[in-house]
Amino acid sequence: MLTAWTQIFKRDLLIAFRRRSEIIHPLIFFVMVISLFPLAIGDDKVLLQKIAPAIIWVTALLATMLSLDNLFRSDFEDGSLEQMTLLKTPLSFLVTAKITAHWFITGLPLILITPLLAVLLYLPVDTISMLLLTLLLGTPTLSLIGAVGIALTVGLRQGGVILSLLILPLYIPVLIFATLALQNTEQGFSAEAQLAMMLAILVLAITLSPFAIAAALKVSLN
Amino acid sequence: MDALDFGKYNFYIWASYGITFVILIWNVVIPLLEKKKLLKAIKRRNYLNKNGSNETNSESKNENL
Amino acid sequence: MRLLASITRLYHQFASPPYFYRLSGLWLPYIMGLFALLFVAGLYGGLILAPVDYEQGEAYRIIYVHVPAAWMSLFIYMVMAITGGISLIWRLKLAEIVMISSAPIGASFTFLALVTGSIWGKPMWNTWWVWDARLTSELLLLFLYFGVMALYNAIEDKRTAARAVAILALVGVVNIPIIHYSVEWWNTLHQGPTITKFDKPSIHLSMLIPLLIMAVAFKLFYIGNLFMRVRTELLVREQKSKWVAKLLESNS
Repeated sequence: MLTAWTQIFKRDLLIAFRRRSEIIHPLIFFVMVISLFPLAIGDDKVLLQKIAPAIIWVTALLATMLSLDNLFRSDFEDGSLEQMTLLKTPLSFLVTAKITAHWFITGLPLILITPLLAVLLYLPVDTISMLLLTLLLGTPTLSLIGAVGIALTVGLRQGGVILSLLILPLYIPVLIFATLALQNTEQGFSAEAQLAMMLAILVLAITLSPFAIAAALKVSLN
Repeated sequence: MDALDFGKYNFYIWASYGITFVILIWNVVIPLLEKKKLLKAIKRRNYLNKNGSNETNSESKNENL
Repeated sequence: MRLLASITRLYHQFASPPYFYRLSGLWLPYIMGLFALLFVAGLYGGLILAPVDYEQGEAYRIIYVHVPAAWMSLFIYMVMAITGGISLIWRLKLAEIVMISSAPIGASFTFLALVTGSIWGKPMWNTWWVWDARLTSELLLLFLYFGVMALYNAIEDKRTAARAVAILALVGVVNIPIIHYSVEWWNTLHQGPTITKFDKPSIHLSMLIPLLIMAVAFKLFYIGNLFMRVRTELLVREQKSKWVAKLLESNS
C-alpha cells in the first residue's frame, strides 16, 4: 500500500519537474498580482502594511485555485485516474499522495517566496513569521478542499468557473482565521486561538476530504 | 387600521413583509409555469408521435398501389 | 416477520414515482391550505396582537419573518444533505429529486433571512450590513446553495449530477453548526440565542407564539413547495413511462 502511495507521489513530482511551467506559472501569478496592489494604491507605507496580510492571503487563495487544474486533469484525460480506481489500494489513500505532491509543487514555493513579497509590502519581521506560519497551516487545507472541488468538476466543460463558485465559500473560514491571527499579531495580542482553529480545520480536512475526493472522482469518471 | 401604523418603522416592516410575500409567491408561480410548459411539451411530442406514424402508414399504402 | 414485510412494502411503495406522485397530489391542497391559515394567523398575531417591545419599539416585528426564514435556511440544508446521503448510499431516485428540489427553496429562505435581517439592522444598529460571524456564515450558506444548483445544472446526466451534488452538500454541512453557534463562539453584533437555549426562553409568551406559528407555517410552505417541484421533476424524468401517459390521458 505504501509503495503505491510513494510511487504516485514520486511520479507527480517528476512530471511537475519536467513541466516546470506547472510550478512557475502559479508562482508568477502570485508575485504579479501582489505587486499590483502597491502600484494601484500608491506608495502608502502605512496602508500597505495594514492590508498586506489580506492581500497575500487572498492572492494565495486564487493562485492555489488556478493550480488545482493540474491535480487531476492529465490523469483524467489519459486514463491513469481510472487505473487508480481499479487498484487494490483504496483511492482515498492514493489521492493523498497526489495532493501532497501538489502541495510541494504549489503551496511550498508560495511559502518560500512570501518573505520577498512581504518586503515589497513593508511588512515587519514578526508579522512575516506569523504570516509564514498561517500559510504553512493553511495551504495544505487549501489543497485538500480544492481537491474536492476539482474532483467534482474535472470532467465538466466550464469546470474552471464552477470550481471557483464551489471552492471559494469553503475557503472563507481558512481565510478568516488566518487574517485574524495576523491582525492579532500586529496589535500585539496572542494568535494562539486562531492558529489552533487553523490546525483543527487542517486535521478535519486531512481525515475527511480524501473520502469526499475519492467519491467525487468516481462520479466524474462516469 | 391604526394598529397597522408602525410610526417611523413603517417602511422597514412593510419592506420586510413585502419581500417575504414576493419570495413566497415567486416560489409558487415559477414551478407552476414550469409544469405547464412541461405538460405542453409532452402532449406535443405524443401528438407528433401519433400523427407522424399515421403519415408513414398511409405513404406505404400508396406505394403498394 | 409481518411487521418487517409491511415496512419493506411501505419503503418500496413510498419510493415508487407514481405512488409518490399520487400521494403528494392528494396532500398538496391540504398542506398549502393549512400553510395559508397559519400564515395569516401568524401575521395577525405578530403584527397586531403582539405587544410593542420596550427596547426596539415596533421594528422588532420583523422577527416574525426573519427568524423563521433563517430557521428554514438551516433546516432545508440539513434535509438536502441527508437526502443527499441517502441517495449516495441507496441510490434512490426519489431521494435525489427531493435533494435537488430543496435547493432553490433553501436558497430563497437564506436570501430572505439575509435581506430581512439587513432591513432590521438599519433602524436597530444603523447599518445595512456587518461582517460578523453569523451574517458571514449565513451569506456563505447562500453561496453553498448557489454552488449546489450550479453544479447540478453543469452536469448533463442528471443521476450523475445528483451524486456529485450530494457529495458537495455533505461537504458543506460543516457550515451549519458554525452558523448556529456563531453567536455563542464569537462576539457578534447579532443577538445571542434566546429561543433555542434549553432553559426558559427569555422571550415573552405573547411574542413567542406568533413566532412559532410562523415557523410551522414556513415549514408547511417548504413541504408543499417541495411536493410541487418534486412532482414536476418526476414527470420530467418519467415522461416516457406508462404511468405518465395514463395520467395525461385521464387529465385531457
